[in-house]
Amino acid sequence: MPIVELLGGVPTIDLAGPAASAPIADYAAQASAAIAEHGCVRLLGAFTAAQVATFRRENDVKNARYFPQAQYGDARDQGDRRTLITIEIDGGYGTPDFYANDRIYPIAEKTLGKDFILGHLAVILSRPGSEDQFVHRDTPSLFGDASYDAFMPTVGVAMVLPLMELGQVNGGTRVWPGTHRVASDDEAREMPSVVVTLPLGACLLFDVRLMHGGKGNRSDQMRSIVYGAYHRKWFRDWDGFEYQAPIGISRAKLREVPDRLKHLFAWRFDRYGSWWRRSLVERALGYLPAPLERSARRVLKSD
Amino acid sequence: MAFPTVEYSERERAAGVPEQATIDEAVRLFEVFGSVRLVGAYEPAFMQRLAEEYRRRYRGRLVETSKQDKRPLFTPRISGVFAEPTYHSNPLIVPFLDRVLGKDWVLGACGSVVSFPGAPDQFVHRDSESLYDDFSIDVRLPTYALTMLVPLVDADRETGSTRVWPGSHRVPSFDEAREMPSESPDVAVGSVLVTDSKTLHGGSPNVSDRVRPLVYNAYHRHWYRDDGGYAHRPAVGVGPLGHLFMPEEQRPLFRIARESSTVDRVAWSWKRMKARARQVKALRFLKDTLTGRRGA
Repeated sequence: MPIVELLGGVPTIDLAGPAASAPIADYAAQASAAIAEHGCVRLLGAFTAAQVATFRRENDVKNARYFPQAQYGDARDQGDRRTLITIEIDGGYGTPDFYANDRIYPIAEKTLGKDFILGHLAVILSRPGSEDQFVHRDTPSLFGDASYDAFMPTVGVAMVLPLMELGQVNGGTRVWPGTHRVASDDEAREMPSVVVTLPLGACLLFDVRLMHGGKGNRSDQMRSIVYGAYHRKWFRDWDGFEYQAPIGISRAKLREVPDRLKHLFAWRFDRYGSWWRRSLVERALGYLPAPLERSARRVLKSD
Repeated sequence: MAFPTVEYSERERAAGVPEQATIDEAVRLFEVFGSVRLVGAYEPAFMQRLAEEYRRRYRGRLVETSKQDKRPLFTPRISGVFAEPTYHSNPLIVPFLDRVLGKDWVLGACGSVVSFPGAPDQFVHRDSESLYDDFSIDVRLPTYALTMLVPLVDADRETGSTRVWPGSHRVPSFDEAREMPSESPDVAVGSVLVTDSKTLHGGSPNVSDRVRPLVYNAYHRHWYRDDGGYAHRPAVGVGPLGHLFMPEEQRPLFRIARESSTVDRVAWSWKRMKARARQVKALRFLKDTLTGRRGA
């Protein structure tokens, strides 16, 4: 049964509609196909109002200090009156319901294959009066030649989850459907675009190659959106994250992540702690007389 | 067929700068065959220092092994001669890498393989998995990762050179690629063998009575990361702290070492402390001005 419908030019899945009873594999396949065809899909009711309220409460408490325009070590300006702040996986944000939502995870897995990762996870604050964001794609051309990018499957799926209703006044996200398959930026910009509005609990998933830009905030309220991306396991996007962590997660919190979801945090892993300790032992072994070193090595099975 | 080979001239080696024609030819051969041998890439004096330090550090690893295939692999620490740009960013090879991988390439792995006497044929393999679980896409793409083998003793029929299937990087099916003709080029000390990560290859047996150590560097496009084979050892032997204390110009090359939360946390704290210090200074200035202690 088809669960994706075009609403205002945006492929949309209402999770309170027929999608609720669709088998998860079928649901994921249809949503993934919509991303492949149009470059994006809107999920209505992906999160409950209570979940969004929790995220918003934490955001308002944790990020209040960033509300005035300024420069910080773990945040950067994203253009006029916008700040991008890395999310710390903790509290309300520390649950699999958030970073591996059961309506989003299957779509990401279907689109990106097994062992996909969280590429970055942040909150973007847009202050009242912010202008339209510049139109862009989220990832650079992989081979410096966009004709390759246009025929390759995608390397990532971005997620926009507003922490309040996102309408025409406080600014939705303008997307250019289909531009993920268009090599030329100029040609892509000439294509028809649509402003995606999102009711509370809805989120927008889009191919990271899709042309898009956040609309300005013309309301008198701070606008906060969660902005994340899932990437293929071999893809690392350092753009903008040379001096800011793409994801904030402590070792203690990492231990709490269920084993089946640890792959999401693959690029923030300190997996080699034991190797480094071992390499210190290795250095010490080098100072021993040769016969003693060989015996020690046999005992430690270090070869 | 002679193995695709480019030899640096005496003049290029003396100047440490390759000529455009040499790089053009190396890139052309690499694109066609998925592998090229670069003769005279490292100076004998440098190779002697590299081999001496390697043997001093890892002498215990060169005596015996418990590995059944007699081919132990390990990750050398990036220090001493391994940290010298001549080793990891050889000026004779960098222009070739710039052309093949784009400007922002990174060191994706730096390791060592020791082949002990009696080591059998290594299994034939490609160095990377398919990006999209479908090699018919990969073979249409430019190179995204390559491996450079640097033998520390002459790799030949006796000690076991690397067997390569030229052109196999453009063949999606492993079995079909395996049916293609293969070659085992001799690689003398100072020369290197560069292979595309999609090119089929495998070590030849060591039928000599000598141990054959080699070191390898894998260079990747900046967005590519390969965890295959590195579940229990790091791909590059430098940690977050080592990365922090590296010369600034080398840090992007070793970016893989930053893939750790620890270093970010240290960097964040430092930046926050600096921002806080600036705020305190500004407030003190304001207070002093208002109370008339300053500017009166």
